[in-house]
Amino acid sequence: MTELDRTIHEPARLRILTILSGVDKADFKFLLTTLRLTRGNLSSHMARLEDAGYVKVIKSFNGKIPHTDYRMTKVGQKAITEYWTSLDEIRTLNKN
Amino acid sequence: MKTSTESEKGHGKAEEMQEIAKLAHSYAEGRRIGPFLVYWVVFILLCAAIGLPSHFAGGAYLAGNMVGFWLCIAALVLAVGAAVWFAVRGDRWMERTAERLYGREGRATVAVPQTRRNKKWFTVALVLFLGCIIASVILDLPTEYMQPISAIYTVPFLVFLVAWNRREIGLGMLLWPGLYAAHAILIVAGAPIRFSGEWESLNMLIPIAGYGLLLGLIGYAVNRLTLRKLKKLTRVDPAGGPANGEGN
Repeated sequence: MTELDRTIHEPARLRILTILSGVDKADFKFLLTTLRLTRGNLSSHMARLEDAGYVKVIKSFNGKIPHTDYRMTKVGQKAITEYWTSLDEIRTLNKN
Repeated sequence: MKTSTESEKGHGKAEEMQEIAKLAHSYAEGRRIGPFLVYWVVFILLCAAIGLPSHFAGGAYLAGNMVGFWLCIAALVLAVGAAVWFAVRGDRWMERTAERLYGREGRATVAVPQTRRNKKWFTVALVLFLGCIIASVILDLPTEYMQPISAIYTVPFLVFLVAWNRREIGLGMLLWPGLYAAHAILIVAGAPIRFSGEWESLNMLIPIAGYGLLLGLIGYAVNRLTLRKLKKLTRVDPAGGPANGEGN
Protein backbone atom coordinates (compact mmCIF):
# COMPACT_ATOMS: atom_id res chain seq x y z
CA MET A 1 0.00 0.00 0.00
CA THR A 2 1.31 3.44 -0.91
CA GLU A 3 1.25 5.84 2.00
CA LEU A 4 1.31 9.58 1.58
CA ASP A 5 3.51 11.68 3.84
CA ARG A 6 0.91 13.35 6.06
CA THR A 7 3.26 16.21 6.89
CA ILE A 8 3.38 17.18 3.23
CA HIS A 9 -0.15 16.12 2.37
CA GLU A 10 -1.71 19.06 4.26
CA PRO A 11 -2.60 21.67 1.53
CA ALA A 12 -0.86 24.66 3.10
CA ARG A 13 2.33 22.73 3.83
CA LEU A 14 2.31 21.26 0.32
CA ARG A 15 2.14 24.77 -1.11
CA ILE A 16 4.86 26.04 1.23
CA LEU A 17 7.20 23.23 0.20
CA THR A 18 6.32 23.71 -3.47
CA ILE A 19 7.16 27.42 -3.26
CA LEU A 20 10.42 26.65 -1.43
CA SER A 21 11.30 24.04 -4.07
CA GLY A 22 11.28 26.82 -6.69
CA VAL A 23 13.46 29.28 -4.82
CA ASP A 24 16.70 29.29 -2.88
CA LYS A 25 15.03 30.78 0.19
CA ALA A 26 11.93 32.74 1.12
CA ASP A 27 11.14 34.72 4.22
CA PHE A 28 8.18 34.48 6.58
CA LYS A 29 6.56 37.61 5.18
CA PHE A 30 6.68 36.35 1.59
CA LEU A 31 5.03 33.06 2.54
CA LEU A 32 2.50 34.93 4.68
CA THR A 33 1.43 37.35 1.94
CA THR A 34 1.53 34.76 -0.86
CA LEU A 35 -0.41 32.02 0.92
CA ARG A 36 -2.64 34.48 2.82
CA LEU A 37 -2.45 32.46 6.02
CA THR A 38 -2.57 33.92 9.49
CA ARG A 39 0.73 34.36 11.32
CA GLY A 40 -0.24 31.66 13.79
CA ASN A 41 -1.17 29.17 11.09
CA LEU A 42 2.00 29.78 9.11
CA SER A 43 4.15 29.54 12.26
CA SER A 44 2.62 26.18 13.17
CA HIS A 45 3.09 24.85 9.64
CA MET A 46 6.70 26.01 9.54
CA ALA A 47 7.38 24.47 12.95
CA ARG A 48 5.94 21.18 11.71
CA LEU A 49 8.08 21.27 8.57
CA GLU A 50 11.15 22.20 10.57
CA ASP A 51 10.53 19.35 13.03
CA ALA A 52 10.28 16.94 10.08
CA GLY A 53 13.63 18.26 8.84
CA TYR A 54 12.09 19.48 5.57
CA VAL A 55 12.99 23.14 5.97
CA LYS A 56 15.90 24.95 7.52
CA VAL A 57 15.23 28.13 9.47
CA ILE A 58 17.73 30.94 8.94
CA LYS A 59 17.48 33.65 11.57
CA SER A 60 19.15 37.00 11.01
CA PHE A 61 18.76 40.69 11.78
CA ASN A 62 17.89 43.57 9.42
CA GLY A 63 19.41 46.24 11.58
CA LYS A 64 17.58 45.61 14.87
CA ILE A 65 14.64 43.81 13.29
CA PRO A 66 14.72 40.01 13.45
CA HIS A 67 14.31 38.30 10.09
CA THR A 68 13.40 34.69 9.37
CA ASP A 69 14.19 32.95 6.10
CA TYR A 70 13.32 29.39 5.16
CA ARG A 71 15.20 27.08 2.86
CA MET A 72 14.18 23.60 1.79
CA THR A 73 16.59 20.91 2.94
CA LYS A 74 17.75 17.92 0.90
CA VAL A 75 15.51 15.77 3.10
CA GLY A 76 12.60 18.05 2.17
CA GLN A 77 13.43 17.82 -1.53
CA LYS A 78 13.55 14.05 -1.33
CA ALA A 79 10.31 13.94 0.65
CA ILE A 80 8.35 16.07 -1.82
CA THR A 81 9.67 14.04 -4.77
CA GLU A 82 8.59 10.84 -3.00
CA TYR A 83 5.24 12.44 -2.22
CA TRP A 84 4.57 13.09 -5.91
CA THR A 85 5.70 9.57 -6.80
CA SER A 86 3.33 8.13 -4.18
CA LEU A 87 0.49 10.29 -5.46
CA ASP A 88 1.12 9.06 -9.01
CA GLU A 89 1.09 5.46 -7.77
CA ILE A 90 -2.24 6.05 -6.05
CA ARG A 91 -3.65 7.53 -9.23
CA THR A 92 -2.43 4.57 -11.28
CA LEU A 93 -3.92 2.11 -8.76
CA ASN A 94 -7.18 4.02 -8.83
CA LYS A 95 -7.33 3.94 -12.64
CA ASN A 96 -6.69 0.18 -12.70
CA MET B 1 -5.03 4.83 1.89
CA LYS B 2 -6.54 7.83 0.15
CA THR B 3 -8.10 7.69 -3.27
CA SER B 4 -6.86 9.89 -6.08
CA THR B 5 -9.86 12.20 -5.77
CA GLU B 6 -9.31 12.58 -2.03
CA SER B 7 -5.61 13.16 -2.56
CA GLU B 8 -6.23 15.97 -4.98
CA LYS B 9 -9.02 17.55 -2.95
CA GLY B 10 -7.69 20.87 -1.66
CA HIS B 11 -4.21 20.13 -3.01
CA GLY B 12 -4.69 21.21 -6.60
CA LYS B 13 -3.49 19.22 -9.57
CA ALA B 14 0.11 18.09 -9.83
CA GLU B 15 0.50 20.37 -12.85
CA GLU B 16 -0.70 23.29 -10.75
CA MET B 17 1.92 22.49 -8.11
CA GLN B 18 4.64 22.38 -10.77
CA GLU B 19 3.35 25.72 -12.00
CA ILE B 20 3.64 27.11 -8.45
CA ALA B 21 7.31 26.08 -8.25
CA LYS B 22 7.98 27.62 -11.67
CA LEU B 23 6.15 30.84 -10.83
CA ALA B 24 7.96 31.14 -7.48
CA HIS B 25 11.28 30.70 -9.27
CA SER B 26 10.34 33.15 -12.01
CA TYR B 27 9.14 35.71 -9.44
CA ALA B 28 12.32 35.40 -7.36
CA GLU B 29 14.42 35.72 -10.53
CA GLY B 30 12.59 38.82 -11.72
CA ARG B 31 12.50 40.55 -8.36
CA ARG B 32 15.65 42.51 -9.04
CA ILE B 33 14.38 44.08 -12.23
CA GLY B 34 12.93 47.01 -10.25
CA PRO B 35 16.19 47.86 -8.47
CA PHE B 36 18.04 47.14 -11.72
CA LEU B 37 15.99 49.84 -13.42
CA VAL B 38 16.93 52.34 -10.72
CA TYR B 39 20.53 51.14 -10.93
CA TRP B 40 20.49 51.62 -14.69
CA VAL B 41 19.15 55.19 -14.48
CA VAL B 42 21.96 56.07 -12.05
CA PHE B 43 24.44 54.38 -14.37
CA ILE B 44 23.23 56.40 -17.37
CA LEU B 45 23.52 59.59 -15.33
CA LEU B 46 27.08 58.60 -14.46
CA CYS B 47 27.85 58.01 -18.16
CA ALA B 48 26.50 61.48 -18.92
CA ALA B 49 28.60 62.85 -16.04
CA ILE B 50 31.65 61.30 -17.73
CA GLY B 51 30.73 62.12 -21.32
CA LEU B 52 29.93 65.81 -20.80
CA PRO B 53 33.23 66.84 -19.07
CA SER B 54 35.12 64.78 -21.72
CA HIS B 55 33.34 66.72 -24.46
CA PHE B 56 33.87 70.14 -22.86
CA ALA B 57 37.48 69.35 -21.89
CA GLY B 58 38.32 68.83 -25.57
CA GLY B 59 36.69 72.12 -26.53
CA ALA B 60 38.39 74.01 -23.69
CA TYR B 61 41.81 72.58 -24.62
CA LEU B 62 41.43 73.53 -28.30
CA ALA B 63 40.32 77.05 -27.28
CA GLY B 64 43.33 77.37 -24.97
CA ASN B 65 41.14 77.67 -21.87
CA MET B 66 43.35 75.71 -19.47
CA VAL B 67 41.33 76.60 -16.36
CA GLY B 68 38.20 75.22 -18.00
CA PHE B 69 40.16 72.22 -19.21
CA TRP B 70 41.44 71.31 -15.74
CA LEU B 71 38.01 71.92 -14.20
CA CYS B 72 36.55 69.45 -16.71
CA ILE B 73 39.33 66.94 -15.95
CA ALA B 74 38.59 67.27 -12.21
CA ALA B 75 34.88 66.69 -12.88
CA LEU B 76 35.81 63.72 -15.07
CA VAL B 77 37.99 62.18 -12.34
CA LEU B 78 35.17 62.63 -9.81
CA ALA B 79 32.63 61.05 -12.17
CA VAL B 80 34.91 58.07 -12.94
CA GLY B 81 35.52 57.66 -9.19
CA ALA B 82 31.76 57.70 -8.55
CA ALA B 83 31.25 55.12 -11.34
CA VAL B 84 33.89 52.79 -9.90
CA TRP B 85 32.41 53.21 -6.38
CA PHE B 86 29.01 52.40 -7.82
CA ALA B 87 30.38 49.31 -9.56
CA VAL B 88 31.92 48.06 -6.32
CA ARG B 89 29.25 49.13 -3.80
CA GLY B 90 26.25 49.10 -6.14
CA ASP B 91 25.16 45.61 -5.02
CA ARG B 92 24.48 46.68 -1.43
CA TRP B 93 22.71 49.78 -2.68
CA MET B 94 20.55 47.61 -4.94
CA GLU B 95 19.69 45.35 -1.99
CA ARG B 96 18.50 48.35 0.02
CA THR B 97 16.48 49.57 -2.99
CA ALA B 98 14.92 46.10 -3.31
CA GLU B 99 13.95 46.21 0.38
CA ARG B 100 12.19 49.52 -0.19
CA LEU B 101 10.46 48.36 -3.38
CA TYR B 102 9.39 44.91 -2.26
CA GLY B 103 9.30 45.30 1.52
CA ARG B 104 5.55 44.76 1.73
CA GLU B 105 5.58 41.44 -0.07
CA GLY B 106 8.50 39.83 1.71
CA ARG B 107 11.56 38.28 0.14
CA ALA B 108 12.20 35.27 -2.07
CA THR B 109 15.56 34.73 -3.70
CA VAL B 110 17.23 32.39 -6.12
CA ALA B 111 20.78 31.16 -5.62
CA VAL B 112 23.39 33.50 -7.08
CA PRO B 113 26.04 31.63 -9.10
CA GLN B 114 29.64 31.93 -7.95
CA THR B 115 30.69 33.86 -11.06
CA ARG B 116 28.07 36.51 -10.19
CA ARG B 117 29.86 37.23 -6.93
CA ASN B 118 33.13 37.84 -8.69
CA LYS B 119 32.98 41.58 -9.19
CA LYS B 120 36.36 41.68 -10.90
CA TRP B 121 34.92 40.97 -14.36
CA PHE B 122 32.16 43.52 -13.94
CA THR B 123 34.66 46.20 -12.89
CA VAL B 124 36.93 45.34 -15.85
CA ALA B 125 33.98 45.50 -18.31
CA LEU B 126 32.75 48.76 -16.81
CA VAL B 127 36.18 50.40 -16.98
CA LEU B 128 36.58 49.24 -20.62
CA PHE B 129 33.12 50.55 -21.50
CA LEU B 130 33.72 53.91 -19.82
CA GLY B 131 37.13 54.07 -21.52
CA CYS B 132 35.43 53.56 -24.90
CA ILE B 133 32.97 56.39 -24.12
CA ILE B 134 35.81 58.73 -23.21
CA ALA B 135 37.83 57.69 -26.30
CA SER B 136 34.87 58.14 -28.67
CA VAL B 137 34.25 61.65 -27.26
CA ILE B 138 37.93 62.66 -27.36
CA LEU B 139 38.45 61.23 -30.87
CA ASP B 140 35.54 63.40 -32.04
CA LEU B 141 34.11 60.67 -34.27
CA PRO B 142 31.59 61.63 -36.99
CA THR B 143 28.41 62.55 -35.15
CA GLU B 144 26.02 61.10 -37.72
CA TYR B 145 27.47 57.67 -36.98
CA MET B 146 27.85 58.21 -33.21
CA GLN B 147 25.24 55.57 -32.32
CA PRO B 148 26.39 52.90 -34.83
CA ILE B 149 30.03 53.37 -33.74
CA SER B 150 29.01 53.25 -30.08
CA ALA B 151 27.16 49.99 -30.84
CA ILE B 152 30.55 48.35 -31.48
CA TYR B 153 31.43 48.61 -27.78
CA THR B 154 27.98 49.13 -26.23
CA VAL B 155 26.38 45.94 -27.60
CA PRO B 156 29.11 43.62 -26.19
CA PHE B 157 28.96 45.51 -22.87
CA LEU B 158 25.17 45.15 -22.68
CA VAL B 159 25.39 41.45 -23.59
CA PHE B 160 27.89 41.02 -20.76
CA LEU B 161 25.74 43.09 -18.37
CA VAL B 162 22.63 41.00 -19.08
CA ALA B 163 24.54 37.70 -18.93
CA TRP B 164 26.20 38.76 -15.66
CA ASN B 165 22.81 39.63 -14.15
CA ARG B 166 20.89 36.80 -15.86
CA ARG B 167 19.72 35.28 -12.57
CA GLU B 168 18.25 38.59 -11.49
CA ILE B 169 16.87 40.04 -14.71
CA GLY B 170 16.58 37.04 -17.04
CA LEU B 171 18.03 36.46 -20.48
CA GLY B 172 14.99 38.14 -22.05
CA MET B 173 16.84 41.40 -21.46
CA LEU B 174 19.21 40.36 -24.28
CA LEU B 175 16.60 42.05 -26.44
CA TRP B 176 18.13 45.25 -25.14
CA PRO B 177 21.52 44.96 -26.96
CA GLY B 178 19.57 43.42 -29.84
CA LEU B 179 17.42 46.54 -30.18
CA TYR B 180 20.49 48.75 -29.80
CA ALA B 181 22.25 46.86 -32.60
CA ALA B 182 19.12 46.98 -34.79
CA HIS B 183 18.92 50.75 -34.16
CA ALA B 184 22.56 51.11 -35.33
CA ILE B 185 21.91 49.04 -38.47
CA LEU B 186 18.83 51.16 -39.30
CA ILE B 187 20.86 54.38 -38.94
CA VAL B 188 23.59 53.04 -41.23
CA ALA B 189 20.86 51.97 -43.68
CA GLY B 190 19.60 55.55 -43.69
CA ALA B 191 16.37 55.16 -41.72
CA PRO B 192 15.06 58.57 -40.47
CA ILE B 193 15.53 57.82 -36.77
CA ARG B 194 18.53 60.05 -36.14
CA PHE B 195 18.58 63.14 -33.93
CA SER B 196 20.41 66.11 -35.41
CA GLY B 197 21.71 69.52 -34.43
CA GLU B 198 22.03 70.22 -30.72
CA TRP B 199 20.17 66.96 -29.92
CA GLU B 200 22.79 64.80 -31.66
CA SER B 201 24.15 63.41 -28.38
CA LEU B 202 20.72 61.86 -27.79
CA ASN B 203 21.44 59.46 -30.66
CA MET B 204 23.43 57.39 -28.19
CA LEU B 205 21.70 58.17 -24.90
CA ILE B 206 18.13 57.54 -26.03
CA PRO B 207 18.67 54.05 -27.50
CA ILE B 208 20.84 52.83 -24.64
CA ALA B 209 18.72 54.29 -21.84
CA GLY B 210 15.38 54.13 -23.63
CA TYR B 211 15.48 50.50 -24.74
CA GLY B 212 16.88 49.41 -21.37
CA LEU B 213 14.15 51.24 -19.49
CA LEU B 214 11.42 49.98 -21.82
CA LEU B 215 12.47 46.34 -21.45
CA GLY B 216 13.04 46.79 -17.72
CA LEU B 217 9.54 48.21 -17.31
CA ILE B 218 8.07 45.30 -19.30
CA GLY B 219 10.06 42.87 -17.13
CA TYR B 220 8.81 44.58 -13.98
CA ALA B 221 5.19 44.34 -15.20
CA VAL B 222 5.67 40.64 -16.01
CA ASN B 223 7.08 40.11 -12.51
CA ARG B 224 3.98 41.74 -10.97
CA LEU B 225 1.74 39.48 -13.06
CA THR B 226 3.77 36.43 -12.01
CA LEU B 227 3.28 37.29 -8.35
CA ARG B 228 -0.45 37.78 -8.88
CA LYS B 229 -0.71 34.41 -10.61
CA LEU B 230 1.36 32.77 -7.86
CA LYS B 231 -0.90 34.20 -5.17
CA LYS B 232 -3.97 33.00 -7.04
CA LEU B 233 -2.61 29.46 -7.33
CA THR B 234 -1.26 29.19 -3.80
CA ARG B 235 -4.23 30.65 -1.99
CA VAL B 236 -5.13 28.04 0.60
CA ASP B 237 -8.75 27.10 1.00
CA PRO B 238 -9.52 27.92 4.67
CA ALA B 239 -11.33 24.57 4.95
CA GLY B 240 -8.03 22.79 4.31
CA GLY B 241 -6.08 24.83 6.81
CA PRO B 242 -4.58 23.54 10.01
CA ALA B 243 -7.29 25.19 12.06
CA ASN B 244 -9.58 22.40 10.91
CA GLY B 245 -7.24 19.77 12.07
CA GLU B 246 -6.48 17.52 9.11
CA GLY B 247 -2.89 16.43 9.10
CA ASN B 248 -1.74 19.06 11.53
